[in-house]
Amino acid sequence: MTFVEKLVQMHVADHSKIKSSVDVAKRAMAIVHKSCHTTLWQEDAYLDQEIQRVQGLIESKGAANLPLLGVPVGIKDNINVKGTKTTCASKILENYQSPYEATVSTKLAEAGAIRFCKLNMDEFAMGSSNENSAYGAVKNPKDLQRVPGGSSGASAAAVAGGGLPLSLGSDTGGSIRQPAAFTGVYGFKPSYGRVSRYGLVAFASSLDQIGPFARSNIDIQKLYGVLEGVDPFDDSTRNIEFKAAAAKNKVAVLSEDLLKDCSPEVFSAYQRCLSSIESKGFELVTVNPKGIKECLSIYYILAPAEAAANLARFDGVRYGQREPSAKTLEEVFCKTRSKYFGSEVKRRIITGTYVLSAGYQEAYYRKANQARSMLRREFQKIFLECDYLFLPTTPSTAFKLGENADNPLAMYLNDLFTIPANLAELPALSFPVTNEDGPLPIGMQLVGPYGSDQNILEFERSIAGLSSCDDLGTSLAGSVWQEYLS
Amino acid sequence: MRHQDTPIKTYSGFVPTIGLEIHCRLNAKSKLFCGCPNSYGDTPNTNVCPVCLGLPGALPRLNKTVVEKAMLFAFAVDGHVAEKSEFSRKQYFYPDLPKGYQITQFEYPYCLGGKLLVSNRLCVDLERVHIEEDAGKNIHLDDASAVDLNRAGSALIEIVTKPQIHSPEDAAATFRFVYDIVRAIGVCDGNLEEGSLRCDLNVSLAKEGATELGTRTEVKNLNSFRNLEKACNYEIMRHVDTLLSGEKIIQQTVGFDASTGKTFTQRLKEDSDDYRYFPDPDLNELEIDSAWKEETRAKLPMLPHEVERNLIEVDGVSSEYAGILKDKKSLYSLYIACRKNTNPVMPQKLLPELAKWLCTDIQKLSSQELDDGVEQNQLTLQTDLGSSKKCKNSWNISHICELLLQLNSGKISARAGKKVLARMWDTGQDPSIIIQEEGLLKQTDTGSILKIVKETLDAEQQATLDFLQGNQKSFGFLMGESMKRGRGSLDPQVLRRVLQEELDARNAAST
Repeated sequence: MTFVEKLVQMHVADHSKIKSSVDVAKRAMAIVHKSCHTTLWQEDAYLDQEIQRVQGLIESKGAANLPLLGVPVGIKDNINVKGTKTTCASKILENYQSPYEATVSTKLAEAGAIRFCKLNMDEFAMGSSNENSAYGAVKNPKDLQRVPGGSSGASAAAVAGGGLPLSLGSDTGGSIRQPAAFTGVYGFKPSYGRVSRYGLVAFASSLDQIGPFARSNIDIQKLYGVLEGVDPFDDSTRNIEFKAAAAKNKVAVLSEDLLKDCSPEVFSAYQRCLSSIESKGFELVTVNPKGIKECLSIYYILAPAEAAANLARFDGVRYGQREPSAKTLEEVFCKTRSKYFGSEVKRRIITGTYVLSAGYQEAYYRKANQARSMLRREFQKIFLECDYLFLPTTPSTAFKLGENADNPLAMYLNDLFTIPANLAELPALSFPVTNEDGPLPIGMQLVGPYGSDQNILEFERSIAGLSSCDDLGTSLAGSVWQEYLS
Repeated sequence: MRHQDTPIKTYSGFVPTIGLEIHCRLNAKSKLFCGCPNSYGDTPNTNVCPVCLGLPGALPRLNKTVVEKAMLFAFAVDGHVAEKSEFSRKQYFYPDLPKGYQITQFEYPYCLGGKLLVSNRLCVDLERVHIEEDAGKNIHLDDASAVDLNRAGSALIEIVTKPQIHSPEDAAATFRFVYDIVRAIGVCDGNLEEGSLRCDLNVSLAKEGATELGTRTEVKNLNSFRNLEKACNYEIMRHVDTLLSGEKIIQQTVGFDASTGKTFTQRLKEDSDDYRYFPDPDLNELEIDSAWKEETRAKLPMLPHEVERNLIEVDGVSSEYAGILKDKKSLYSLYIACRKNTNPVMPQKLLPELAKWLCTDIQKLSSQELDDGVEQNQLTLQTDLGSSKKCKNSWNISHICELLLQLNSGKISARAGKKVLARMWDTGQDPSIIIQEEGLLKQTDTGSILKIVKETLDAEQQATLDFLQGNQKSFGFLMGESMKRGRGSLDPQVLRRVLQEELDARNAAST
């Protein structure tokens, strides 16, 4: 039985256990937070309310109809949960209270989950190391000298450190999958439009997608099942019935040329996985999709362009911080934004403003969009021949804190293998595999055709044996849970 | 596009060329991208939600009824409604713009082309019409500024004409024409004072006969026909003076001060913003398929110029009254209600007379309630006139019809008719009851009329004497006095004959 299954079973049998589970989560998360600096907001009074709310829900809907009954879920701090603070790990939203509920928050509530805490992240989800938080960097529970990845670093760390069974992240260019790989847990980015973005503070609207973190495939599926679905509040959600063609029993894999940026341990782990997949009767088809090398360039034009517009609303007029020394209207805008945005956010706003400026839009923004369409077609071609694409999640294992801090381009390279799925709007699962050459976790990725979200999860289970999330008991705070569950 | 024989007026040898951009606020119940009420004048920041406040994480969702209103306008001006159009973000910082960008249509508007048939000598082609959201309102107090976002996110259409207008009068007439159309098709309340319809004006001057246009200036935010004409005149004369003194026109945006009648510089071209438009990734393409198009087209009511033409050509109404009915929607609705009435039926030949009564006495009596001005809600009046709750008094359609039939049959005089009408308005009573109670039925019975005549002549001996001595004017006086005694109900023709006979008789008797 999985972590979530055990908890739900326990709560169905004894409703009063919900409160004790929340207490266990508090203890476990206190340990994780102390080492990894994961938590931006958690309040006892709010948790008491949550417990009461769920007890009420049991009466109105029946415990059996609550798939996440009493399960504490950590939520990335760019998702609005009414009554909590939503800071996006930015000074500009310091003390900003969510006045409304994101659709995913409502769905969690209706599934009987406990919305446990708000989790640290890179400011406005911009970053691959979680060092860009205005409230302090998050550390990797597997090695406290190392980054947990980003931008959903604390969502990964909370689950990997054994603090919580489930968490929510958001993924624009790999922000769920890369930290999942760095910390050795499962992270899933659904097809674009499968999970509502309503209430997710936008980074790059055409790429952003909310998704789950968990310690097992089954738990990912449980949480994803609660999150997904068309939302009238989000125009980009779609109800596409995915009809899996007859299994081709072929898996697309990357040509060596595309793997040259991988570290030796990731490269050898990939090769081991390929043999294992082949031994299970799948034919491996080497692909070299056109445009895949340009993905980083495409991404670092389109994402900042959208981000610059999305972040224009933080102008000091209606909410968030306003620089008190500002005397004129112009100063309110300039001083507020200069002072309260972090440097990575400013870098991207400036890039985004530049690529959309008169005279440059044609050369950058439009070209990048054309290249994106091309890439999408390339992937369609791959999935005419193969069932899935299998590739590493990241070129290397988790790097040390500060290692890439002065080199944004090296930092951006981390997203090399994750960005294509965002650009092509495809579902992608990162899962942990054994590292025979070192102590750090390695993540591998399965990418499927648009809408094949459930199929990917099932397929990953069918090739089980590859994946290896460590034992809950051996994680940072997992023993607290293990004791409780046994 | 002018009629070829109409000469273009020149200004010291220069020809002005004018284009208009008209912003029209659609009167949809909700805002463009959220469910907030689209209403004016409420307590600031009460008609707001996460979406129109631009709160972090909120997403727009398109309101389909707004698109229908926008489509109606496109049909009314014969524009091409695009099967696919797109919303873009127009980026700039301003306190009344909560998201830091306005959602508008840029590269692919929903309507391309179209024409405004302003008059039989003026037809102005449209460049495009697009849908966009309105901004909020900045309010400047003594020591602070405040922002009201009730208006933020309301739906507008922007109507862009080609530069085909050549005089301030034609510019005003074109704006007026758009005003008439949007009201007639029920997509805008036409409230100019509240900015429901605002016009920007582009003016440039070129030497007569020149093929290229001159440098243009843009006058922003004109909200009345008169101000548009004045501002246009002022800009033309300013251009003329500048050009005649050998200077160049500086491309710029100007404002118009209605109190001085002058324009003033707001922004020079070189400071102009780069709006960095790009397609809004939060919204899908706007798809309008032919089924939706046709379903909406079927809802298009008759346009003002069509109404006028039908009144004159089909119903035989005089052009004077047809003009009034075209402009006064509430009167026209009364007209149509009477025209369609079944009990009693309004005969076709009485329609010109009906129009006359509507445009004169009925309008006068009910001017307060039927005023098409600022306070009126057009739609309430249009759909629910006979018993409109907005009116203290109201007209009963059948009663109006009956009165017209009475008048036509000659049973009551026009004078009595006015009296009946006034009492109908005050009491809502049936005209036949009023006629009976007030004894207004025309008396044609010679005997009783003779009796009244005799009484009159006995009472007015001097006037009678005057007449008998040859003063013809006294006849009219005696007619009038007899009428008074008969309380206006005497048939004038019978009265005239009886009076003449009686006077003749008395004359004969005295000689």
